[in-house]
Amino acid sequence: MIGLVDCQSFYCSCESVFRPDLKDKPIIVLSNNDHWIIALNPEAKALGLKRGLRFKESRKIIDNNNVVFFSSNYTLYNDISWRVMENLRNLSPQVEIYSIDEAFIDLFGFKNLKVYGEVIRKTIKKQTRIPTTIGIAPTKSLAKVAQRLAKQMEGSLLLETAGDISRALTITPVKDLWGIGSAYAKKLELAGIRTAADFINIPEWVVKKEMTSVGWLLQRELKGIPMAELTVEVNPRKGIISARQFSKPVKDLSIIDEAISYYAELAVDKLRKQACTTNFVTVSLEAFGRARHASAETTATDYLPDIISVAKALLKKIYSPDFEYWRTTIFLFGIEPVSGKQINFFDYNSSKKGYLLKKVDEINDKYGQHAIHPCASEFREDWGMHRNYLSPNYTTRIKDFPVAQTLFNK
Amino acid sequence: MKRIQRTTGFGSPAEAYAENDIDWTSLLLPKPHAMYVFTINGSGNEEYKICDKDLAIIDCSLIPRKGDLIIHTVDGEFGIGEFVGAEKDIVGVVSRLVRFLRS
Repeated sequence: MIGLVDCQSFYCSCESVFRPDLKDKPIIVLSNNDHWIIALNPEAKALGLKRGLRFKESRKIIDNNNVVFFSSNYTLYNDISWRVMENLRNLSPQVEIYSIDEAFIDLFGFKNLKVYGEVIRKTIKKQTRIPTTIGIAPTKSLAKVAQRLAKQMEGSLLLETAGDISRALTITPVKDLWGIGSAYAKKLELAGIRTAADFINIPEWVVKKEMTSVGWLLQRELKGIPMAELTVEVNPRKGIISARQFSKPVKDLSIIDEAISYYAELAVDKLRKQACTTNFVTVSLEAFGRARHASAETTATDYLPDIISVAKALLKKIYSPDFEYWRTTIFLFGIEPVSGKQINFFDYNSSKKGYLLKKVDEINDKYGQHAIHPCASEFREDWGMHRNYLSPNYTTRIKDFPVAQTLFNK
Repeated sequence: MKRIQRTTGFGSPAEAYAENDIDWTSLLLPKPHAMYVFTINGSGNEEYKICDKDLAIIDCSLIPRKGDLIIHTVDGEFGIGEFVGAEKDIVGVVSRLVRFLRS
């Protein structure tokens, strides 16, 4: 069985961990430069606020209803995300971090999963103060179906028997299935296929013909047959992960450097295919019995040389020559569409960068991917972002630690 | 990191015996996924061994016992106090207390 754990309104939940005064209050989180709303909690949604609305234009609703607003604090979100994932690693033998706030967990061989799902939720809530919902089912796609329903009840849902599964599929609209884009959803609805249950009844050869292998893999998964190769459509607002497991343990930093550069290249490739930029880079390095990670903020960027130099600088921080490493991973978080990228007046190079990237793409299109790729460059921090409503870095800066008052129990 | 010094004359016979620096982080934060750090504000709780500007490291995985120091939320604020059993929203049990006496 596979579980999908999802943090509820993750950015807003992170903002309220150290603000007990915000309990049950509407909270929104703004994009870089405080332009638009990128995250809201249910209380804010109930006021008619939506993701993607401009902050300035929503100001009336925000002020009239005392909505609490924050600039995005990826330093805080990243630290709390690590805590949630670390707890999951203690609760399951295998955790696949899918995005900053979602993870698949391996529950093969676990008994009494209905109870265990609740144990996981309670443990994470207690140890990190982040609320989660969990879907548990025989395959990843079904776990997602279960998690979607669990979210509606703010709890956990186990789909184990054929009866459970078919009931869940009947109440899942086809457009909410993972990997079904809006184009396919429209096409399916025109053909009278409205629910996931309708979808699994289409003959396999029709699915293969009309929807390529992705549709076919999804259909098999929904029938309860795990397909290891299943790739789900990446939600552009979530993170991008690229990891390398070395064929044999590696000690040499220059080899790890090379690996992270290559994997950064793959991640940035994905990023740019989605026409997005990243605001936060995390690098992790795993040895036997030792895992370390480090993160840095970047101004909304899709510029590979910058991302590589950040990744290498981070690697240097966590690398120790005393260990043999078996895996390194690069995570890009804080993904935003390029159209939302704000011109940074301090970043005088950007027009040059655009030109360079275009040329690199042209050469790679002609001579194959990675035909031309960046060499090492110096680490440089780019600043100049407006984040007027930034919360303190409660967990990563000593001067920002939350404050506890004395004079209780008196 | 090992504390090894370069010598210009004879190599240090102690070099091979140098050990890694003490890992204060894992001493203070043995469970980083379940621990948060708070700064204490206000004096007046000295009888509970808490002073202004102390750092209270809490372990959220522990179940509070009578007499433990805990961080809990009271009227939208965090407070530190002795566990009596009636607290509603307990954040965690104080497992380490760091005090800076002078510098």
